[in-house]
Amino acid sequence: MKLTGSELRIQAQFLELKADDERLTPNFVAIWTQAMTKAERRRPSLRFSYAGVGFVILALFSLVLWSRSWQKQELVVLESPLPPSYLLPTVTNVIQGDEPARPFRPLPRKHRPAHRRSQLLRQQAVINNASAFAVWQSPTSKLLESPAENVLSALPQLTQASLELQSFLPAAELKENK
Amino acid sequence: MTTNDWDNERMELAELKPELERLHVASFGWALSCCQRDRAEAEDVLQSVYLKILQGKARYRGEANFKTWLFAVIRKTALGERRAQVRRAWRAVVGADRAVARGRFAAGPLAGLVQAETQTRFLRALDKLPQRQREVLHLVFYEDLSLREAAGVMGVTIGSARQHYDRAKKHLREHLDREEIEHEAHWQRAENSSAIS
Repeated sequence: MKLTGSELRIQAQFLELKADDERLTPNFVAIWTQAMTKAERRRPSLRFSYAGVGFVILALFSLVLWSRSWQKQELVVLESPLPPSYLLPTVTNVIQGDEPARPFRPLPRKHRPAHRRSQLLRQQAVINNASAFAVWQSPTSKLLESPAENVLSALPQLTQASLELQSFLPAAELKENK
Repeated sequence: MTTNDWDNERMELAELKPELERLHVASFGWALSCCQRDRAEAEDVLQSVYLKILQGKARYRGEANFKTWLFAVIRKTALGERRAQVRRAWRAVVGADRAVARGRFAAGPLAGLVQAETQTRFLRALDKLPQRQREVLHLVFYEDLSLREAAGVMGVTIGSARQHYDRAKKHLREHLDREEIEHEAHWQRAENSSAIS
């Protein structure tokens, strides 16, 4: 860049300033070493902080994985396949005496997880007992029956009673009453 | 960072260090200009810049001239230090006065011995210019950069840099002329008073 009159004057002033500044410039090695010392001092703490952050992230990740696997196990328990309805005992049918109670049969092995077998067997025993209780009848229930049971259990029919009574009365009394 | 990353970093630093040493004097001169001729502050700024490079916070990716990149980092660091200094000065009332005094020509009797009178006047005139104008004059005349390179350091367009350059020359000329007139008037008064006595 070609400099004109005033620019040359400014340049001369700057060059003079530059010469003075060069004498005042600190040693490069001194400043560089100071910077390196500071950098080395900060680096281990930075490493520790990165390690700490990494540890926290790892802990959170493993916590999330553990909670997910725990939820999955609960879901397996809740969603364990129930036997189809035709295999379940129909308690209402048993009371009415229409159909005999069917014993509970568990699902085939291939449909059940292995670790649930013992629990299902226990449930099967409970259900079988419940169905047995539902159909049980006392051996002395016959003793509770009586000949007048029909009369005692039925409501009185008043008009029917008066008609039957009329059949006992003589014909003369009936004419007088009229 | 992996071991490979640390090795790459060390290799880069090994290549950068000779370049930084070569430009150290020019870097210090530029830091002085950015810190309003405060030598202690300029040293702190230069050390902060080297620390940034060592820590990898300032990385040269080859997108521009190395000197231009380095000067831009020095400028940004000096501005940051200046803002922090202003904040600290506002917090402490006493500190505010010291910060103002500190920013002027490395105040003290030693400053007067080191610098010639003309140089003092020149620096006073330079100090009156706005920051951008001062920067562009320093980069072009002191650091011998082109206007394009100076624009890269300052982070402005070439047109804007040229505008600052033209205005800076004009204003500096005016200030220097005024300084010379005042100086001559001062000496004339001094001569007259000694003649009378």
